[in-house]
Amino acid sequence: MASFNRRDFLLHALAAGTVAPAIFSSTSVFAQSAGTGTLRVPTAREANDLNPWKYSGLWVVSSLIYDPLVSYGPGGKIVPALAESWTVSDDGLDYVFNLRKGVVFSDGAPFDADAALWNLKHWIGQSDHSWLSVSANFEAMRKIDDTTIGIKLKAAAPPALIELTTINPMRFLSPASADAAGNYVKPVGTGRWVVVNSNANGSELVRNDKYWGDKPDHDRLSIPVIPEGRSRVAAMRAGELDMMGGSFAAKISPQEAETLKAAPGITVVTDMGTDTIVLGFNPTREILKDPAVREAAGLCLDRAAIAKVVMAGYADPTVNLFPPSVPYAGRREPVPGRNVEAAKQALEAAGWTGDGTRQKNGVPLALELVISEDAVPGSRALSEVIQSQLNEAGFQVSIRQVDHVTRHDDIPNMKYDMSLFITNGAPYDPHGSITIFFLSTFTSGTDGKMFVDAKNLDPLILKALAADEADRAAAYQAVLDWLRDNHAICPIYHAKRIWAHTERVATFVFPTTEYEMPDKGIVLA
Amino acid sequence: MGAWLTTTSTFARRLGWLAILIIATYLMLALFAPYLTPYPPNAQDLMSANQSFSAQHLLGTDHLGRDTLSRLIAGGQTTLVAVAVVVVLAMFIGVVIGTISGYVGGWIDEIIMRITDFMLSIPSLIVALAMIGIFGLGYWNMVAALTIAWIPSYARITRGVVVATVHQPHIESLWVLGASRTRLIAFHLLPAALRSILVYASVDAGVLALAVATLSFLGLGIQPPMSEWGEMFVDAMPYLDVSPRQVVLPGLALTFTVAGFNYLGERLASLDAPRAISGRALRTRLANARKLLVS
Amino acid sequence: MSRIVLRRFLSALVLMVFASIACFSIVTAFPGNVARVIAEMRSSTVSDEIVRQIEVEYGLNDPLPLRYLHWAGRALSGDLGESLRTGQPVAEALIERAPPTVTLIIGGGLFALVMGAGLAFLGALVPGSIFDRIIHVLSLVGASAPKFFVAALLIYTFGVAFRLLPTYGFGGPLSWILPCISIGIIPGSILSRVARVALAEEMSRQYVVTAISKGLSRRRILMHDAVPNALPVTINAFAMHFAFMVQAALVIEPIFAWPGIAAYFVEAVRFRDYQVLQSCLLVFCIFFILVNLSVDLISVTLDPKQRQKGLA
Repeated sequence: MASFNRRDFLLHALAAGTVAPAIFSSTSVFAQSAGTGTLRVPTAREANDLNPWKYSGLWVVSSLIYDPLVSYGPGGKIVPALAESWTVSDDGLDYVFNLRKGVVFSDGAPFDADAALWNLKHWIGQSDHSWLSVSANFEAMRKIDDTTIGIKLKAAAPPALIELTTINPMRFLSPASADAAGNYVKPVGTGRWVVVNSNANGSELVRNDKYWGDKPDHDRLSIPVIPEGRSRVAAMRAGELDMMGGSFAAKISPQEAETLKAAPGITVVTDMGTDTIVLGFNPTREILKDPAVREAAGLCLDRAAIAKVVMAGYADPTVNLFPPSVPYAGRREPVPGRNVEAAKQALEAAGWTGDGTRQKNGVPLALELVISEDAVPGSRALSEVIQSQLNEAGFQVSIRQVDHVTRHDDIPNMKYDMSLFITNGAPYDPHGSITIFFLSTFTSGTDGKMFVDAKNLDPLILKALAADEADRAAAYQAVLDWLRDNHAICPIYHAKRIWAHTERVATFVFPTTEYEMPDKGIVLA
Repeated sequence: MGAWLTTTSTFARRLGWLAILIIATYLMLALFAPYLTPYPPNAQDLMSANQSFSAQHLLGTDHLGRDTLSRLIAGGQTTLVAVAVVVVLAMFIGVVIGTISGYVGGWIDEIIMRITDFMLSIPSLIVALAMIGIFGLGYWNMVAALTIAWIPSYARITRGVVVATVHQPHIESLWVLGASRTRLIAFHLLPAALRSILVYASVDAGVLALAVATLSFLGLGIQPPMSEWGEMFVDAMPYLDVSPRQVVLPGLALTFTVAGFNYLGERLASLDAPRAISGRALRTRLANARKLLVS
Repeated sequence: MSRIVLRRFLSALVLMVFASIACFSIVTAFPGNVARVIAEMRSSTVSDEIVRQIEVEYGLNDPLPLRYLHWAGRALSGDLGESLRTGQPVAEALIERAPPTVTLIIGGGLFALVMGAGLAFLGALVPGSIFDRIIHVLSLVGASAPKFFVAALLIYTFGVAFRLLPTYGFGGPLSWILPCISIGIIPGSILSRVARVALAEEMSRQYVVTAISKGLSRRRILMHDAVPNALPVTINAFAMHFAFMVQAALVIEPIFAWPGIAAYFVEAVRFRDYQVLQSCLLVFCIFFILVNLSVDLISVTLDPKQRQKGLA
C-alpha cells in the first residue's frame, strides 16, 4: 500500500467504477503487475463513440477494450477467445459456444451466458447489421447453461465464425455498465485494457488487472489523437511516441516511412498486407462494356513503377484481387510489365482509332476517374499516374476528386466511369469483398461495385460463398479466373503493412488484422 | 489613335517601370504559360522523382518526377486565370447590384445593403469555404464560391460611388435636362464607379491569389493533375525534412505575386489621388488591411 | 450615449437572427443524400428502406420554415445536432475544441499587439531607425506572404533544422509558441505599420512641434499625447485583425495539427458535414458580430467626436 499514490488511486477508482472495490483489490493488483510503464501509440482519428454496437467509434481502440467470442488467427484460422470451444452442426445452421469460465468484465460483472445473450440481442438480426451474414441469417438464440449459448441460423452462412471475430458489433459490453434501459453508457469490456478517459485529444487506458489471459507487460496505454501525418512523424522523432502505424490507427505513408527509417533509434517494420488497391470499372458504361478497353487500361499501367515510386517500395505490384495473406486468395498470377503498344493494338483491334484521343463511331475514349482521399488514402497521386499512363495509349482520362458526401451520392448511383477501390482485407476477405464489390444483388452503398455481371458472375460467387470447406478454394478460384479472363478489374498493388517503433519497444508483434491495435506480445525495453 | 497612344504612354510613365514589368509578367504567365514551360507540366517520369536542381531540371522534380519549373509556371497560370475570372465575374455582378442599389434606392437598396453588410462582416474566405461546403469540390465550384464571397465588396463600393455621384450638382442638372436613365448610368455613374473599383480590384487580386492558394492548400481548390501553387505546397509538405525547396519555391512564387499585386494597387491608388495625404492613405490602407488577411 | 449603445445592441441582435437564417439555409442548398450519410454511420451497408426511415426520423421532408424553427429552437437550448461524419453531438465537439482555438486567437492577438505596438512605438521614438525599416519590410512581406508559408518556414527553422520547439499538437505553453507567432506575425506587422503611420501623423501636428520647441522630450510627448490620440485607429485596426484571425486559424490549425474549431470547420467543408458546417458558421458569425459590437462601443467611448454625437 505504501506505493499507492493518490493518482493511481483515482485511476483505479475510475476504472472500477466505485472507490471501495479499488481499495480492496489494490493489494492483489500490485502483486499481479508484470511491469509498469506507458506505451504511447497515436491514432489519426479520435476514438469517438466506443459503443460496441455502433460503427462510428475507432475500432483499433475498441479492440483493446472488448473481446470477441472467437479470434482471427494467422492465415484466417479461428482461435478461442471468450468462447473456449464451439461446435457447428453439419447443416451449418446451429452454433454452440462454450464460454470461458470465470471471466469478469473490468467492472466486476461476470461474463456468462446471460451477459453474452444480452449483448447479442443488441444487434443480431437487426436491419442495421444485415450486411453481416450471421445477422442476416439469424433465427434464434438460446441459453443452454450458464456458460453455454447457442445461435441458430435460417440458412447456412459459412463466413459466420469469421464475422464473429470482427470488432463492431461483435464484441461484449458489460451489462452492469449500461443504463436501466440497457443502452450503452460507457465502454467497459473484458479486454486487456480499461478506459480511464477518452475524448478528442486522445484516450488513456490502464491495464485490466481482471483480464482472463496474459496481461500486458506495461500498465498504461496512452493513445493521443494526432490527425496529421507530418505531426506524428515529428512526434515520433522527438521521442514523444513509442510506436505508430497501421491502416486504421495512424497510417504511415510510404514517404513518412522513408523519413522515419532515416531517423536514429526508429525501426520501421513491414509485413505483407491483406488488402488490394484496384482500379474498378463501371460496368453500366457503354465504353467500358468493351473488354478490349478494360484490357488496354490494364496493359497501360506500370505497376512496378507505381509500387516503387508512388509507394516508395512499400507495396507489391499485383494483378491478383487478393494477396496470399488472405485465405482462398487463389493462384498467383505473374505481374506483366507495362506494354503500351499491346494496349494500342488491343484498342485498334476493337475499333478504337485515331490520333490523340481515340474514337469509335464518333464516341471519344474519354473516361472519368472519381477519387476520394477519404476512401482511399494516397489516391490523388495514384490517380495522376493512372491518368498519365492511360492517356499515352489514347485514353482521355479526367480526374474528379470528390468529398465524402458526393462520394456517398455518386458511387451508389454509379455516377463514375472508373474509381479506385480498396478491398476489405482480413478478416473480411475473401467473402466480404467478393460479395460487396461483385455480387449484383447485394446493395453495397458507398462501397460501390468494381464489376458486376448478373448472368455469368453471380452464380459463380453464390457457389463460392455457399461452398463447404472442401470445395471452397476451387469455387473462389473460379470467380477469380472469371474476373481475370474477362479483364473485369485492374488490381494495382497490395500495400504493405507499415509500423514504426522506437527503442523503447523491445518486441513488436503485428496484430492479426489491421482493424486491431498491436497489443499482445508487445514488450517494453 | 495618336491621342490614345499619348494617354497610354503618360499613364505608363506615371505608373512606373516596375509596375509595367509586373503587369507584363502576369500577362505573359496567364496567356503564354504553355509555351514557356521547358517540359509539359504534367509529364511524369516516375523513375526520376524528387530530384534536386540540375541542368536538365533547373528547379528539380516533384514526387511524380514532373519538372518543378514547368509546374511553377503552369501553376502561375492557374492562379492568375482563376483570379482574373473571379475578379471579372465578381466585379461585373457587384457593379450591377451596386448600381441598382444605389440608383433605385428605397427598400431594395436597404435589403441589398443589409445582405452585403452581413456578408462583409464575415471574412471572405470563410464565406467561400461555406459555399464550397454547399457546392462540393471542383475548380468551377471554387470559382463560383470565391465569386459569391467577393461580390459584396464590389457591390458596396459601387453603391457608395453611385450614391455620391447621383447627388452631385452636374448629374442632377443632367437629370433635370432630361437625360435618359441608361445614358446617365452608362456615361456618368459607371465610369465614376469603375475608377474606384479598378484600384480596389488590383489590391484585391493579390488577396484572391492567396485565397485560391489557400483553398488548394486545404484540398478544396483545383482538381488534379492541374498544378497550382497551394497544391504544390501541400504536396511537398511531406518532404519538408528532406527537400524543403519543394515547399519554399511555390511559397516564394505566391509571395512575390501577391506583393506584385499590392504594389500595383498602391501605384494605381496614387494615380487616382495624386495628392493623397497620409490620412487618406491610412483610410485606404485600413480598408485594404481588412482584406489583406485572407490566407 | 446610452441610446447609441442600445441601438448597437439591437442591430447586433437583428444581425444574429439574420446570421442564424443564413446558416440554416445551408441545409436547403445541401445536395447530397443526407439520410444515406446518416444511415452509413449506423451500419456498414445501407438499404433504401433505411434511408427512407431516416428521412422521416430526422424530418428531412418537412417544410423549410418548420425545419428552421425546430433547428433554431434546439440551437437555443444548446443542441446543434449530430455530426454526419462521427455522430458526435456538435455542441459537445465545439466545447471540446474551443480551448485550442481560443488559445490560438488570444495568443496570436497578444503577440500581434505586443509586436505591432512595440515596433510602432520604437519606430516613432527614433524615426528612421532600424525599427522603421523593420516595420516597412515586415508590413510589405506580411501583406503578401501566405500564412501557411510563414508557418512552414517557422516549422522548418525551429522544428526541423534546430529542433527547438514542438511543431505539432496542442500541448503545453511551449507548443503554443510557433502557432501563435504564425498567426500573429502578419497582423502584427500590418498593425505596426498602421500604428506607426498614426503616430507619425500625430507627431507632425502643430502642438507637438510647439512642445518640442519648448524643450519637452520626444518620449514624453509620445507617451502623453501621441499614443492616446493614435489609440482609436490602432484599436480599430487591431479588433478587425483579431476577428480575421479566425480566418487565419483555418490554415494554422491544420498545419500545426491543433484540434480546434477552425480545423473542425475545414473538415466539415471537406466532408460536407452540414450540421457541423452550419454550427461552426453560426459560432463564427456570433463571434464577428460580438467583436464588431465591442469595437463600436470602444470607439464610441474613445473617440471624442462620436461621444459628442452620442450625447447630442
